[in-house]
Amino acid sequence: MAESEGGDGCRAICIASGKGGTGKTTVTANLGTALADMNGEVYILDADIAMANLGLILQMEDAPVTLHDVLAGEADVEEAVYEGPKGVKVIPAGISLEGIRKANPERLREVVEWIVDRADFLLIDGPAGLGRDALTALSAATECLLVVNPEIASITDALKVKAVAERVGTNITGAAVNRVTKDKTELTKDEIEKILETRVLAEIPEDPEVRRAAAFGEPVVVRSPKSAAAQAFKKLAAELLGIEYEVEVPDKEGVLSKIIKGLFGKR
Amino acid sequence: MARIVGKFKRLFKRGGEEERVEEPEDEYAREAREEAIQRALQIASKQLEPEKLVETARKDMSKALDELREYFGFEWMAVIDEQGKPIGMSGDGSFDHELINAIKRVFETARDADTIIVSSEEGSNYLAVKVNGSVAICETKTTPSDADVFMLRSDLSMVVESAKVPSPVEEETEVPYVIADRQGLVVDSQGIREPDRAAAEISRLIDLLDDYMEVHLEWVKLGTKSGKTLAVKPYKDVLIAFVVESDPEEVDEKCERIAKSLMSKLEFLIGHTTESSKSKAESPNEG
Repeated sequence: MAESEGGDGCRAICIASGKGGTGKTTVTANLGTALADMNGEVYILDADIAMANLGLILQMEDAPVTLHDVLAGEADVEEAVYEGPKGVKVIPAGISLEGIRKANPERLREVVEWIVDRADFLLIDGPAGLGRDALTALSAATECLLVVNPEIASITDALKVKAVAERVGTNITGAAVNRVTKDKTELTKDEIEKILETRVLAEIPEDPEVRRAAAFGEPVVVRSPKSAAAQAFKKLAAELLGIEYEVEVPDKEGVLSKIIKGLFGKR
Repeated sequence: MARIVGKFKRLFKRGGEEERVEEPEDEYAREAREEAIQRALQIASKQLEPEKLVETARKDMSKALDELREYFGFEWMAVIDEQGKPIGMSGDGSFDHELINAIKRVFETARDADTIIVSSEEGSNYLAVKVNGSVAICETKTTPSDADVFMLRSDLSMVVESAKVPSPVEEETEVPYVIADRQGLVVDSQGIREPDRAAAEISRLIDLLDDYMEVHLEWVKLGTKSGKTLAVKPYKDVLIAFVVESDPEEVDEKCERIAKSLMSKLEFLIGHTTESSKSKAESPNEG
């Protein structure tokens, strides 16, 4: 079993993928926010120590105390906790090279233990690949959510992550397929489930609203809650909570407003 | 005005693109997806399942090591116990004793170390991991990642531990045997009362069969009414002979397993002898 068991039923989920660029950080930020909106105490932790960007997409890049300070033994965990949208608790990692140098990843388990004592959900944004930091993040969690893109390289890399997770005793909760365009060459949900031998819990569409929201330092579930991607994130959160999710119907635009939008570039 | 017309054109063009997605699936896209699925399934089928690996190791240690070596893409892999005796070997090449001794010395000196990675400019890398007192040494063309080391350690630990559990295979490796060269001289033996005589007789028997049959002999098995079988396997320049008590239905499989285990042992002995004579020849001042 993984070393840090959730104390009072806290689910510590590592958001992992073998390949970089699959959208782990986006999934962490949006899923965490959606969970916080639906459930109790939710923490999201940026364990991508060398390439931290959870803080960037939540406008916390200037956070005075970060996970790096905690891992360096220079601050307590509670000093690095910030309140994010919908009340989600965020522990960002720093972006300075000096911070990376001083951080001791082995202390991550202590941080996780501190969080699981007071949270209902902990999402750990793990680093891409399978280096030492990724192994530490995987073994600190009790569950693992694989984030994949619907293409072969991403799926086969996820197979390796799954194999490692199984060996550290971290259960595979399922997979979230991100950046789905429904292109004919993409692997389908059924095919991905067959290859990974795990359930696909969500298919998150490629949605320009995600990039736009990130540019504003907000999760898409907050900035464009009725967008296709936001709906998928909320559905995933409901799936993890075991509750029904009712799809919110986007506001219908009239033909005239579409023309005006097209002509005058209003977005 | 031209700007507005342009925007109208772009609007209609966008509509056209959306419609194109609705077109029937074309052959090329279907082929591409099928190819991707096949390749991904092939990779998935090569994943090591710890439970199956343990099961294999209980029945056949060499096969389990073969599976490990193939999964990690090692050129060869050797596993030795705390005393430096071989537990198993997989892949081409013989035990490189100089390397094994050097690695043993490093582990003895740096007691806290459990992993050694040696890289060479030629592109061959060596990885040694200490697992439950045993040491696995592997040669690989790629640089092992942290995950590779972690997974190897995890899987190897299960394989080594399962080999320690008394199993029918372990009993089988205790069978009486003699390994002789083609001239009938003993290379190694265990549990044979008169190994020199047995080696000479076996060598004569094989010579006789060779002359008479004029084919490449793979196995010679002599069964008796008491249920004992004398099996002889010509291997490289030697003859491996052993006696098994076995059900006729199982005897072939059992013989293959024992022969494989004795071959590994032989490779170790050959490597050891070669290295010893080489180091003696290279160090005339010693002794």
